Amino acid sequence: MADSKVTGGRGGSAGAGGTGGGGTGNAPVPDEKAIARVAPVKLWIEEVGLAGKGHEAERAGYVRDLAAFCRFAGSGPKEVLESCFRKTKFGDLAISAKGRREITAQIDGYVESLGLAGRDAAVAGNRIRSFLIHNGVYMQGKVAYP
Amino acid sequence: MDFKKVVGTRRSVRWFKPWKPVEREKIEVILQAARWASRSMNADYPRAVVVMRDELPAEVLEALHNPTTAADVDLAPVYIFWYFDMEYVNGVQDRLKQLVDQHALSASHGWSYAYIDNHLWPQVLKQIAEEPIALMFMGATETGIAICNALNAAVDQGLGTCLHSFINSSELQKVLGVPPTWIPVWMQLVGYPLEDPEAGGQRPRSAMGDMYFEGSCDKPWREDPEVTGQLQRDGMIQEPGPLPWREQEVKMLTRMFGLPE
Repeated sequence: MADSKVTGGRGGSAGAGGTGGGGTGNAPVPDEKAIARVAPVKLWIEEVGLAGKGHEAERAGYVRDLAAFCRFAGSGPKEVLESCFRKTKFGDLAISAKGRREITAQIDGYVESLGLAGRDAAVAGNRIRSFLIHNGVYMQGKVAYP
Repeated sequence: MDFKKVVGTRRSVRWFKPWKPVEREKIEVILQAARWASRSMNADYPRAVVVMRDELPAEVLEALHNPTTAADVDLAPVYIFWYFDMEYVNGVQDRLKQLVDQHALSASHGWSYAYIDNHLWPQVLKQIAEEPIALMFMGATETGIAICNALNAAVDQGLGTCLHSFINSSELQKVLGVPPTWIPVWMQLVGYPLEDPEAGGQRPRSAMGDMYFEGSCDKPWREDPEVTGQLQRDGMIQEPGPLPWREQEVKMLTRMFGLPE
């Protein structure tokens, strides 16, 4: 299945390495265990149906992929998410078109850094998009042809 | 397909066979259906730009991609960008007179050349033309009626279709050559459906009595079980969603294309 391809295919690639991605910030990036405890990450894992028993390996793959992106972006998952929103003049939270464009470019950069191509590349980027989508950032993924 | 079945079968289809192009003739039928829609003042409201994905140069296709349209643009082989032209009022006097000449608008209902020239135009239509809110309201309403015909024409021909909002960016306007007086309404996606035509079942609707009234607004329309039964047999009222297999269907399609789960 695609999941194992994404996680396994990346191995010790550039994405798992340092910050250098022109990221959303310079805050220390939490490790995978800490990332798994962040509320938006928990929500994501629940909504993709991986919160329960029997999904440990797949769940770990999801968190590992998000952590790799966070390292690439130089930001924690909350900061990544916050960069997609802005406050309106009425104090409401709205999706920032600029922030969404920037994070989309960052996802593309992250995927490129993984050295993946074709379907694997699209799936890897869409894994990160999935985290944003389940937390209210309207966006669409790239189609990965079988 | 029978009219009632077309209405009942229409869904917002979001999964298309990206490999299967849509015949140009079928697109033309969709445009003709919109052309023959009801329209006030006999005015030309809608404008549409048909974009066949596989005929586009790569750079133009790339320009149509943005963070909110990526999957739609890749999955649907045809996009129809619907607009209305803010200048639809121009020439409306002549078009109304055509209806008088055809006896569609006749003295029996108060119509005459003199009424159009001396009253309707200066006192009503000219004022609408100068009032942006009225212009927008009528333009959007009347174009919506045309688009409804376009949707049903797609369904009638076995196609899947869906309306999607779109960002009328300056880049897109340049690519499509959109004049500045055109106001964006909807992007209509068209293609052969990859999902089951039932698309997980009919979407929820409020009860008749919550939406419609008889005589006055305090008297809800009473739904007739016999009519409901007939419409079920005719296909206008279908099995409500979600059908038991829908979640699995979406999951499988999502994985087929590696889209975000």
